[in-house]
Amino acid sequence: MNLNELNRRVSAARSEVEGRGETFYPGSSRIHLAAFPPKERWNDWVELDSRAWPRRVEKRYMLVPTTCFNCESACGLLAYVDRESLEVRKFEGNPEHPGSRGRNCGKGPATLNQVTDPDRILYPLRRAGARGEGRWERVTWDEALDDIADRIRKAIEENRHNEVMYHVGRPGEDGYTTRMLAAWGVDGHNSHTNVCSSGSRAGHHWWMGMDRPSPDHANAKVILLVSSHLETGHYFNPHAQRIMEGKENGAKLVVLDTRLSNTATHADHWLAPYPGSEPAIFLAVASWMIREGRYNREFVRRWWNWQEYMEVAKGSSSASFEDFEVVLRQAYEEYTFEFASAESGIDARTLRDVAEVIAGAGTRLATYNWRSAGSGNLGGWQVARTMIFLCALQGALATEGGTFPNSWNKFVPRPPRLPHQHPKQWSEVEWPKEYPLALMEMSFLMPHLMRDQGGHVDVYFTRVYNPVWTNPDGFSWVEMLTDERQVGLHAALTPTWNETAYFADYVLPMGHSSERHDLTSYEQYDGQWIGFRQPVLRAARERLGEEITDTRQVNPGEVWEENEFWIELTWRVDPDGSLGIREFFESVKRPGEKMTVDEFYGWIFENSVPGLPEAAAAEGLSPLEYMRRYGAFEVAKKVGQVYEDPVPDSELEDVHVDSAGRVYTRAPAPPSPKAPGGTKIDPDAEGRRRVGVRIDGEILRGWPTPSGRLEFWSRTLHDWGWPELAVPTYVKSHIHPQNLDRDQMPLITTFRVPVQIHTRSANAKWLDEIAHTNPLWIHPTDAARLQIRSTGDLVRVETDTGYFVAKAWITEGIRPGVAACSHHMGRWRPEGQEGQRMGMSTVRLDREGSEWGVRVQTGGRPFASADPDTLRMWWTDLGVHQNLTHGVHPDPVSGMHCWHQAVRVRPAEPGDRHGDVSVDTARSFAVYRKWLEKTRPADRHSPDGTRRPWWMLRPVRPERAAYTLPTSATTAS
Amino acid sequence: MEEAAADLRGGEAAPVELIRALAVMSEPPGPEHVAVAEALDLAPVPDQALYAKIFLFQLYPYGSVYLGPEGMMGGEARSRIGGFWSAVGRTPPSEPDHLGALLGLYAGLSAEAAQGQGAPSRLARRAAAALLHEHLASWCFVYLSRVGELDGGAYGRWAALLREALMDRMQEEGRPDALPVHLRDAPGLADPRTYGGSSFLDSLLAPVRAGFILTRADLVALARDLELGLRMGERRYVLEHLLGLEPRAVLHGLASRAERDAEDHLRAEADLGVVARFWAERAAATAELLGELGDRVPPSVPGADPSSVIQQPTSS
Repeated sequence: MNLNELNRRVSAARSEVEGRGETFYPGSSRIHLAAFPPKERWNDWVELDSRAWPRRVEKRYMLVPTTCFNCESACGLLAYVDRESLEVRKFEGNPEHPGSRGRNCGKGPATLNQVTDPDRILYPLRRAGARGEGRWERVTWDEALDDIADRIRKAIEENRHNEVMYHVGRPGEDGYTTRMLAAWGVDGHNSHTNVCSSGSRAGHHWWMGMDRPSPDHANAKVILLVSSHLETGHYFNPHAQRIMEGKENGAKLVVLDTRLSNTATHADHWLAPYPGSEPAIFLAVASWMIREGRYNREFVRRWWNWQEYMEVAKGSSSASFEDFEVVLRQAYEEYTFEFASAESGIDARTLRDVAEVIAGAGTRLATYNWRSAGSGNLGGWQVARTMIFLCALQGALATEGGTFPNSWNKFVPRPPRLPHQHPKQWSEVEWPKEYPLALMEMSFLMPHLMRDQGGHVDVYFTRVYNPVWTNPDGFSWVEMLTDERQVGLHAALTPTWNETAYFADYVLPMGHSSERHDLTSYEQYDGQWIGFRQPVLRAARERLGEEITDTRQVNPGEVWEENEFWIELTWRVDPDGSLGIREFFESVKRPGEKMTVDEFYGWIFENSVPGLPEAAAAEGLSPLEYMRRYGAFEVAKKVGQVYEDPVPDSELEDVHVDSAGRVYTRAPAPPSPKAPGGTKIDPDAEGRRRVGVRIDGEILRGWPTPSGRLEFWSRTLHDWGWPELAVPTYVKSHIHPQNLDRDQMPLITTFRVPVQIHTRSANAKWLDEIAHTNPLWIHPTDAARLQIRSTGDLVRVETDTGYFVAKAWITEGIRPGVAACSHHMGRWRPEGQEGQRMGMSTVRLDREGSEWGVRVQTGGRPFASADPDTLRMWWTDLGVHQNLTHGVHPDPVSGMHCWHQAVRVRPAEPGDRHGDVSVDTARSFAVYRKWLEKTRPADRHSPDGTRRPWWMLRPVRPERAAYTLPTSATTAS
Repeated sequence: MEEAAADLRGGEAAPVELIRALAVMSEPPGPEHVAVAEALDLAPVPDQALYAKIFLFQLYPYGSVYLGPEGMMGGEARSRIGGFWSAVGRTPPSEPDHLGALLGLYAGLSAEAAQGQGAPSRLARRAAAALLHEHLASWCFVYLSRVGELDGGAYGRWAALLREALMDRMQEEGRPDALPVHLRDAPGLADPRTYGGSSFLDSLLAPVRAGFILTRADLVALARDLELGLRMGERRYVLEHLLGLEPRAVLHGLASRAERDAEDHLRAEADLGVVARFWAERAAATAELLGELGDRVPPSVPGADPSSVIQQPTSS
């Protein structure tokens, strides 16, 4: 046989093997550069039992994919299910997942700890005494469901829709719950986003109409991070692996971080600016690029809304692009390197060098701001706005190696029975008139707004969310949650105990990532994928031929999953369909019967995911079977510059082009497999929908902004009371030196510790062993000045509302004059309550009027449990819960909580113990009032009598009429 | 999923799937290899012990071992190969010079060349040709000959098939006149009279310097032929010990091995051109030096300090 014949024979063999859905080239081969069990052997994978060594004992596994739920990256996991015991033995990466590509951080495998956690909640509980008293009784799911459903039904029947609220931490899913709330007709979606990413989102949204970036790190020439992305952060694992690829390909990494984070140690250029000065640096870079002509003129001319700016802001309707360039140069000439140097404390020459690097990136500039400065400072949203300014100057948007907007790299498929109605009532507690431009719900102000408004929420769900611990001013939350006049019923949906659940009426155990269904899609590279989270024991048993109709049949105890819970609850809210809600949870094939989770996802995979049915059919599987087998599917790759796509003729009918070049059509929008969402752009006066923009005579898709272009100048900001902030600019932070007393210093709180994830991971023993405390970072010069002698000394950190006692860590890894303390530690449980003994201190809560105290009784210590490892616990220091001492600092524009604190640091007093906290909630309320004064409320600044710009994003959008301000409230429109 | 296999177009395109499949066979064998081995007529899949014997103990399948002046994995040779991956727009894997990785890359580039059109296709084809000449042909033929020598079974047949496939590609691409950079810059064997015994031993174990591959099996065979005791250890230790026992005979034995390999390399000159000539000349020079050193050692110096033998100045 000659070589050609042999080649054909190999090709044929490959086609035949792959046609069976099996792997021809083995996963462990360097052809694929990875080592994973080949997928055709996932049903019966054999490994030697490491514990039996040196004997060779074979263990047989079923490998079942699911999706990690420990952060929002949604990385793929493979559960190794023991075929004999049908227990999960370990979790590793899923090589079929396009985002994580088989790789995981420590939190993925640690899912096993959470599943086997001896302290997890296994049964529904109802409080037996007063709320917060710590007495619980086990109840049946039916009892809990009926009680909660009765209250919801009554609220809806009595037109009190706004008294039903769902408060979510990390959603970990796309669209299921917002669909449900729309079906219920309640404007009750309350997220945690304003304590997390709203600052960054706002900066992106007002440029692009989309609120997050999706940098193409792997192909970038320069990666610019205002975050600690190589160790923590959003999409940490998928991004970190691509950042490293970019670096291996020669990309330069520029990191702005006041701390020497692990990420900073990998940087080619690490800048440690005074916190809050980051926009000044970016503006200086932008100004230099403009002055030097180092920007992409053609891109700016084509895609910026410079004409609108010149016309409205400068009163020049006939200005040329060259006129605009002159104005642009003048507008930014004050932002010199010397100016930025004075603000940031970084040498002007260094800034100039970094500017040269950034300008050299051209269209391959990948930028990301996650939390960090964007969530720490008054005006922090300008971090992202000025970062995108740099991309927009270079045309590095949606280009290879550039920065994409999230929506183009994300795919949320359309679900069955999509509710057509919108809530009729506006939730003033979530979307108060003082913050009309807030990117997301003002969730962290809930106790303050409830008090101000005399509000009442009759049914309040916290779902994998822990506001008492996560949010600033946690004791105000405790005060609200324990006041039944404000909160009628509180149901905590959580897999594990948390500080908020202690103040619930029901604690309802929900599954971890291997015990529940969810569908996810996140922007992690230039492509689109969906990931399927599934209860792996259910999938395993079904492979063995069993029929599972309820996930509780396979989960430990009576742990449930939310999807089935919400279906069941909705049916009990509207048992006969008379409220018009039940229909959205009825089977499509068998109306009148309950929709099952299988049918819900089966319908989506069959009808709304392009390419999936074909890929499944090629392997002789149904789309649902395919997703149960592989756990993920890549819908598209190389999406590219959507804004440059020409609009096809089929969408152009009776076209109208307005004076700004926006193109409107009477042709209906083609059907889309994606779920509806995004910004809402009004039709023209004659009802045509906007379809694109005309650029140089061509009709192109453009951007989902009011202008259809990139909004260098935001008419929204201009018209809603913030004209001075309508173009990218610099806002001095609340912790700017000029706002501090002589004895104060800024405290940075917004960083995670690697391997831990907020409130979620305190029950993972492997992670706790690695990271369990949060010392106060302080520079040696500051330590000397403050008479802190050595690392480990106790210090009092005083905020506006109280103080906390931490251990000092004297380190040169922090900029002099700045202190830092991660907000990831300091979990606690009140004496007498259940809790996570591995990661929570036992504390005494003291209260006298508005004065609260936390006194640590015991830290960590070994304990006997079903897990012998708990007797090996060697660490005692579990950190301090500093967020209790933070007053609320809502940015008046973006609504983001500005986390950084102005503090006084001094040696602890005799009797102080590590972890002690003292707070006066009356002082907290005064801080809230002070920040409220910074706002420009809708009733005084709305240009059109509405509460909020219609076009802006909103997770659950009420009907249009609900946007109108009550007439009595409007005074200045 | 990998890109689809390229069809052969009039015999010009590379046999992409064949090369991929051959690449897989350089990996530790397992049940996953059954389909590939059957397609290649190499079934049954060799067992792990044979794989370990060939690839872990005798002939490490890494280009840097044969191209680097240190004769070890890593170093500048691996960096240079890693640089090539980057230059063609690929992220270098952690072991960019593994034979399997290089063949996979070659197959990928060839597939791109066959499937694409215009400039990208030409670029991919040029990159594939450069990879073949610079980073595969520069060492593979020497390496594969030795694999064939060590194993008459499946791996011997694999090596012959791979050699044939690569030779075919060389003929298709044409033989450049210039030496691959790895070889162009490679220093020769270190003369112990100038550089000392230690450098001499190091260079003798670096194929690109000595012009031939000295395996553990070669040393065992040499000891057996000379009826010398063999001390177990890594190759340098074994060699040093053998030279201490019977330096003259050992040097002559090594010279014979180098001479034989020089002849083998020269026979490939018609197909491989400058590359074969380079290896032949290196091996011949080594044979000459070893013979000369051996001649200068008295017939039997039992218990002599090996370093004194090989470090003894001969020209002053």
